[in-house]
Amino acid sequence: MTLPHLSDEQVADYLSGISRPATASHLAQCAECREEIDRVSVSIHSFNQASMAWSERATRLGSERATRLGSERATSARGQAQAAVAAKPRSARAWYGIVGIACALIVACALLLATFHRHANVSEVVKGKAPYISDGTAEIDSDNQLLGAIDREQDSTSLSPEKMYGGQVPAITLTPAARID
Amino acid sequence: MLVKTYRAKLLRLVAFSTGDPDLSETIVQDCFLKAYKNREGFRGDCSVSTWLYTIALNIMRDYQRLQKFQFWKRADRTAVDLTDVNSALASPDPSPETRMLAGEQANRVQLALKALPSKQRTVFIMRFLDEMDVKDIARATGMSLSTVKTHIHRSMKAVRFRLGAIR
Repeated sequence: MTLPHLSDEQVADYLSGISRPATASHLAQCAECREEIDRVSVSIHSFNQASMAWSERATRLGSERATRLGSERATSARGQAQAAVAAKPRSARAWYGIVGIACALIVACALLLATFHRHANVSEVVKGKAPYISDGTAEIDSDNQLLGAIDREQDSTSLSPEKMYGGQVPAITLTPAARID
Repeated sequence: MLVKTYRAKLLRLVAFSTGDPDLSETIVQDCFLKAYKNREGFRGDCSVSTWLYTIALNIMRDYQRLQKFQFWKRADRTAVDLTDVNSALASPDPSPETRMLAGEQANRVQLALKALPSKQRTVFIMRFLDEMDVKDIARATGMSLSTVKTHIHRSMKAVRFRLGAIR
């Protein structure tokens, strides 16, 4: 007489870890049921391991991808922040440079104007109050001419002693009393 | 901390329930965001994992309701591919044959799960992979205890059938 094999429920319960005394005693006697349960449990165990390995690998890859994305985003954000930080001082520096150049130009213009103004005053002083400073040769010549003209005019207007006395110049005798010394 | 502890388990539940790894990432992220926003509402009458599962399943239902027919079409296109992790399966016997056999068994269970209705698939994962209590499954899914038990038995029967283990 052959033993009645385990029912589907009994097999499922046994594979779920629920061991009943009737099932255990049957398995002790029935090699066929034992072999079947072994085969199914080994297959499920293999699937359990393979599916868990797949899931763990997918989880690992997912976290690596997330980390990579995160680091890329962080790098990108850091780069943007650095660019923003770098851009701000650059524009500030540019503004400082422009303002500096403008100030330098203003100071230079002021200095030039001051210098011109000073030169203008000096030349006025020279023109108005110190003609002697301009000692050109032409001026000396003109002065000589002027003096010469004066001499000539004096010569022409004043009578010479010869003419005053009719061509006879009285002899001047120097007396001892008239002696000056 | 919460994310570190539960993310992988939640992702597996959602990914293998929906069959769409991209969507499951979004759902899990939404789940943690919602959990963080409603952290005051956690009264401690269930475990944190059950609370998170409840939130994740609610979001999943919302997505399914919103996307309706597109949801499963998309899930078919971007199904979870276990072939590249099968080679890395931890095994006491590191021989290539054993690893290959384990990978084949895992693929067969995945195919069997794919053929199940969504609710049975979710209940199967919670019960046989996450080893959750029937009461916690009922609480997280909003089903009655008897409904959860029925889903457990039916899903296991379907998987056994797919694995060729049913006599």
